[in-house]
Amino acid sequence: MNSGPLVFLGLLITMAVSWITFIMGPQLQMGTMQPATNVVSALQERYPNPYEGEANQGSSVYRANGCVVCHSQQIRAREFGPDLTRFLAIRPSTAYDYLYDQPVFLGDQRIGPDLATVGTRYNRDALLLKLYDPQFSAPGSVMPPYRCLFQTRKIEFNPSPDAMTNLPANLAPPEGYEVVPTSKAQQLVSYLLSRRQSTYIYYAPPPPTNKPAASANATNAPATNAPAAK
Amino acid sequence: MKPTDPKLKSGGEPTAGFSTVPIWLVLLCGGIFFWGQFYLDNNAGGFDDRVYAPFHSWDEIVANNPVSPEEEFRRLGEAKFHQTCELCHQATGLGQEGKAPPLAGSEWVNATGANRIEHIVLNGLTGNITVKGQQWNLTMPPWRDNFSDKEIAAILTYVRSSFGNHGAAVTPETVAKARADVHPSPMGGEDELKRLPEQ
Amino acid sequence: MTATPTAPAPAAAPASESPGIEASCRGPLLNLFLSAVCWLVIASGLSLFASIKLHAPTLFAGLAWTSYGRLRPAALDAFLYGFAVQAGFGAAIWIICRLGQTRLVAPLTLFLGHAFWSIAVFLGVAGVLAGGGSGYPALEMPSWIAPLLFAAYVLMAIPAVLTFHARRPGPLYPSQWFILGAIFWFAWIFSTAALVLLYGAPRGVLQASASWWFANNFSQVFLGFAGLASVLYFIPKLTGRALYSSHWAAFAFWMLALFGSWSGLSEGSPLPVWMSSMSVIGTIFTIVPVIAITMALVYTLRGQPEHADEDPSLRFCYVAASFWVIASVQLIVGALPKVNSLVGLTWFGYAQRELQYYGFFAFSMFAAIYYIVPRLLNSWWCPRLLKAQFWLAILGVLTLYISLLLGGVAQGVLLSAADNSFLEVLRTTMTAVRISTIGDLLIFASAVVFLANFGKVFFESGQRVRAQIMERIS
Repeated sequence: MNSGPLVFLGLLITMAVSWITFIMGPQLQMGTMQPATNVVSALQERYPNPYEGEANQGSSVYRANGCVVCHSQQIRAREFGPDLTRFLAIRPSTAYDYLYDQPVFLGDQRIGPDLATVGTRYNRDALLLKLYDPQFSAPGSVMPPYRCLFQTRKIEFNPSPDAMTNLPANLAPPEGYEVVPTSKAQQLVSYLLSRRQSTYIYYAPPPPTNKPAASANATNAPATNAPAAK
Repeated sequence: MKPTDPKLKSGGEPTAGFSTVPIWLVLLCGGIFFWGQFYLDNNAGGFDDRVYAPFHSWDEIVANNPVSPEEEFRRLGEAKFHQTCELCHQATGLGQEGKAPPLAGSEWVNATGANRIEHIVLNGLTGNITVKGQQWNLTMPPWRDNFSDKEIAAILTYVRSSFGNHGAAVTPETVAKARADVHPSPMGGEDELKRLPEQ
Repeated sequence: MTATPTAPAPAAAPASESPGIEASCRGPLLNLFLSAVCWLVIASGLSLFASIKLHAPTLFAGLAWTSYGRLRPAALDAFLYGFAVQAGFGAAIWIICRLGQTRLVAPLTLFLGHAFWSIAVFLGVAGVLAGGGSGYPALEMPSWIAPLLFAAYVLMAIPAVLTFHARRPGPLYPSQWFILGAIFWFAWIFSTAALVLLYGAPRGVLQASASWWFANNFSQVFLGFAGLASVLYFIPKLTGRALYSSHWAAFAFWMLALFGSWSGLSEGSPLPVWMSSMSVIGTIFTIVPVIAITMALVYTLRGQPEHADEDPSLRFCYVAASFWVIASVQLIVGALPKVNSLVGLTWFGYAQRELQYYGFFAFSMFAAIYYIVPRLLNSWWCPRLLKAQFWLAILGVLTLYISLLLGGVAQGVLLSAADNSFLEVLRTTMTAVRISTIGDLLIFASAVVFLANFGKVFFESGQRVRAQIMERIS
């Protein structure tokens, strides 16, 4: 151990072992991963599908504001905790769920709740209100209000169709003004609504009981456009 | 402060002794290595990149999945039923007053042929219908534009094999035949239904 | 266990060489250390601000850059790239010069590298606050900063390696392996991470595994090597005893290099199970270097009588070594699947990293800086400020660590019961977070005191130089 080049060689070998195991090996195995076509109880042909444009733009807003610092996006199996029940998930997360994510925000910590299935728990208005004032729906929450994603402006002629209508009394804008989400807010919400992980795939089959974990009441809107029953 | 100030004295460079590594530490390494092998056997899923938590092997995943096309078909129907039909017919298939008649034990569901219930699902139903001795007069919307033949067949297969029912499976072909059979929509009660052949 | 033959007392430094060595490194090292200490103040200040924002989230609600999600990564970047790498280089180069009994080679390159590095780190931290963060922990910077940072790193590493190469022939001391290890390790992990994450586009979760791999290698291996180099150098040197066994240090070194770089991927994440299983095994193997280094240090100090006039750096070394053992053991315990299922994704992991950074690594660098700077400037520290800094830092780290450790465990235990709502559990753990803010405040105060002490040494040294000049003139 007295020769510099020998130490360097040893370091190179140890680094190579780690690099091959965790960087190159997985890349060789999963580098060309394609969407899964063996979708169980085939509600769709393949999973996942690429996201719509707004959702991709929203992922940049998510990244820029560091949402990943407080929120994870990984549903863990039952032996790791009650993620399935708490976050209304139908199954643990697999690599397929993140195939089209760039970057992937798995997260290290849950200061706030997990967002992997947030698209099945909230609708657009609720998410916009949450971004505008997190403390209203969750008193005691430590999430900062993202007012910079919204614009309070004077109503010209007619109110904007995008203006927020569900603001509580103490947050309502003054007379003649309206609060309108900026495009960044809409993109972020589109991104969050795309976080569903609500398809069973072969690699994460449903739990053994017959009843699916999520009942129709828990979701906001059924996946298909079923006309409302009488 | 002068460089010769005693506070700034440097002392010599450190040296190191040459004791050998104790054997028990090497044995500990070996022990961890041994345990690691067992751990990988049980938890590494055979280094298969398709195995995700909580599963431990590919075989376990296969075992947990529907084992036959029939089972997969049934699960498709189950998923669709719980997504849509459950809203009125309830998850238990018992139906609800003012919403929908029961499917559990219904003579229409358990008929030999599924032609009549295929027509109900495709075209909707209004007017009187007797189910299990009880009169029902509600309106069910048509679903022909919402589901494909395969999906309707899967739903009916599921309904006919659940809630205590004992009907045979329904094939997409018979649904396609029922779809081609044009009827005013919705169907007008059990009188119109009884005019349809059962098969 | 064979008893070591009584180690010869360390040879006295040849009187003619040391001043020349000191002079050759004075400029670049002072730059590095001053810059590092300033970044420590910035990092701990940002960290304090972030911590305050956790329980006053509506403060400055309209300003995007003050949100926790931007402050926390900026604080981490400022610490890792601003303080850790620069202080690490400073200590490493001085140790290489001293152990090799040679002057610093290519000081101008080092100076240039440091200048570019400082600019890059400043732009990186500002970039994160402005919303350009990459979203990857420990690599939060706009992607265009990475090549600049890497180039600056190479410019700093070249003098270190050349100086090592120019050393006097003789056996290598363990610190030299650790320093070589640290220098090469950062180059490899950073270039891999930057290429794979910032410039490449691997599918899906491969990004997450690469980012966790990088963050853990930075924390456990790179900082571990750099901090242990300092601890293993100063403890034997300042106590006048030989390090118990170079072979034990070698064993620990190779084990840490081989298996320390495997940790970081936790069970239960959406990676294929083989990856997290391999990672768990690697983490458990790292108990071996912890045992080896602990035993080496304990045996080195066995029978060590207390000195009244011991060098202050020694206390920092003892604290650093203790914190390293605790942080490493916590990492191992936290990787066990049963424990991870309880405390994964809570404050537990965060507490471990903070102990590794502000506890172990910062203290090992304090030891080095407190020793090196007076010998570069021929000025001594203000003893009261030094004592204050020591106690503020140690109390701050302990407050921060223990409160978040317990908070994390409580959070994990409470969340494991499905009927506890997330919000209720959050409210309960906020008590721990509030206490941790006090810890952050104490750490910030200790950094400010350190900077003040630095200023005092510079000022005194400047005054003396001015007096000498006046003497010459008159």
